[in-house]
Order: sequence, then C-alpha cells, then structure tokens
Amino acid sequence: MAKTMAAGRDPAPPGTIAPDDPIAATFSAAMAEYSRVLCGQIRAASEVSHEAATTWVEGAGALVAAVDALRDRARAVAAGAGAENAPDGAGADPRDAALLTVIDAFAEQALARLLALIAEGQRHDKASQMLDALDEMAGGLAQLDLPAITASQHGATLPVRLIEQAEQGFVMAEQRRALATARGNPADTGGAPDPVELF
Amino acid sequence: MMKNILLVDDSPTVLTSMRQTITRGGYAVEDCRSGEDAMKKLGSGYRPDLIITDLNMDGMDGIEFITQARKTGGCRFTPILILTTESGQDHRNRAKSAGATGWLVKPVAPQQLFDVLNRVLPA
Repeated sequence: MAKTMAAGRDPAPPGTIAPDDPIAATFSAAMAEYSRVLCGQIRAASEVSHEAATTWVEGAGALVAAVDALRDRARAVAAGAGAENAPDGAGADPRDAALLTVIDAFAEQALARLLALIAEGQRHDKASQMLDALDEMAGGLAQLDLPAITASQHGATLPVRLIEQAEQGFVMAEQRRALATARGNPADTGGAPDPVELF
Repeated sequence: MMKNILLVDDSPTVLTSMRQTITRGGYAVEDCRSGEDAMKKLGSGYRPDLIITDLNMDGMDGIEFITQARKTGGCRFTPILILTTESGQDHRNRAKSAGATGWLVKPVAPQQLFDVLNRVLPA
C-alpha cells in the first residue's frame, strides 16, 4: 500500500491489494503452483481408479471362467457316472446327481453375482469423467490472477465463470445433483430421465 | 446362428466389462476403441447384428459415428444403442436424430441389458 502511494497512484480500495503489489504476484504464482499440484494429484487418482477397475473386471472375469469350468467338470463327472450305471438300468448315482444340483445352483448364483460386479466396473467410466472435470476446474485455478481480480470486474467474477464453464461438462445426473446441493437447491437437479430409453 | 454385436468405447475397462457380460448371453462380440476404428471395421465388410457405442470419445464421437454408420451400406437398419454416462434429454434427442435406436446410461445391469438386446435384435 505504502509503495503504491509512494509511486503516486491511487491507493487500492479497502480490503484489496494493489495490482502491482508484490504480494499479488506471489499469490498468483502460488495459485499456479497449487493448481499444478492439484491437477497432478487428480490425474494420479484417475490412474489408480482405472487400475483398480481393470483389476476388478478382469478378476471377476477369471472367476466367471473358473465357476464355468467347475460346473462343466461336475456335469461331465455326473454324466460319466450315469453312463457307467446305465447298463444296470440304475442311471446316475443319486449322490452325484445331488452334488451336481448343488453345484449348478451355486454356479448360477455365483455367475449372476459376478456378472453384476463386472457391470459395476462401468462406474469407473463415470468416476473417470468426473475426475476429468475436476482436473479442468483445478486447472482453472491457475487463472486466478490476483492483479486481474483486484483490478477488474472481469477478474472478480472469474471463479464463478470457471464454475459456469465447468457446468457445461456436468452431463451426469450425479454431477448435476452435487452442483445443486452445493448451491443449496438439492431438489433442483432437472430430473433424472429413465436410464434406459428405446426410441 | 450366433448374433454379432460390435462394441465401440474408448475405455478398455468398459469394453472388458461389456464383453464379459454380453458373451455370457450367447452373443459374439467384436470391439473397437474409437469411432474411426469402428468405421474401418464396417468399411471392411463386417456387418454386426447390433452396435453398442459410447457417446464421448476422442476424435469421432458416438453421434458422428452413428451418422457415418447409417450411411454405410447394410447398416441403415442395424440397431445402434448408445451406452453412456450422460443422462441429459438434449443429448438423447441428438442421438435419436442421428439414428440411434436407444439410450442406456452406465452402469447397465446384465439382465437390463439382455432385456434391451432381446427387444431390439431382429429374430
């Protein structure tokens, strides 16, 4: 403040910092550094999320194959036992038949559950896109140029405009719900259309 | 005769997930990581019975892919479903105008998916 007055300029309004004050430059540089680190962390989180989802889906896929193999093996064994007993007219050993029934029931339930878990892997795509949006918003922090903020209406409204810009990319119901909640309008989500629609 | 389904998505996780699910339903699956690759595949003569495509992809997006695919001989009436994270009505309207058959929001449960496939796949 003293410096700007000494330079013969108007003093900055109360509560603000003059555009040429070194504090402003320091703050702007620090915000740019903050933004870079934040973006880097978000990208790292995205990579971890991706790796976890891949492991999840591939692991569940391997289990599906294993359960399938178990069921096939049980059926083959039961069929073999049945063939051995067939000349006597006895058919399959009741114990084999009972075991096959148990294994079939287990396999059916396990496969249904595993397929549901695999489908959940699609949520990764949502998380990934949300992290991309966060990355973009965090990158916008680097634009928080304190001299510009203190010197103009344009700069003063920059944070809100960053949100408005990011909002264009909030295409998921989850994102719109979070935005509405943050703005204090949790009911104002624009509705959630049917997740399945045939034209 | 096993029905062929073409998956188009830039996420390998989604492709793996969908492939696992769809093959369990008794369908043959081919996949592509971009709209451009999918167009090349269609250009080579591959004719799936149904296509499931993502919406947001680098390069050619899902809407553009559908527009191009509809101009490809033999794909004019092929059912094309969009599988996406997006749920907005305006995007659905654009997809419908481009020639999409339906819209699925991720994640789609296996039974839900099979119900849709049974409804849109020609007998």
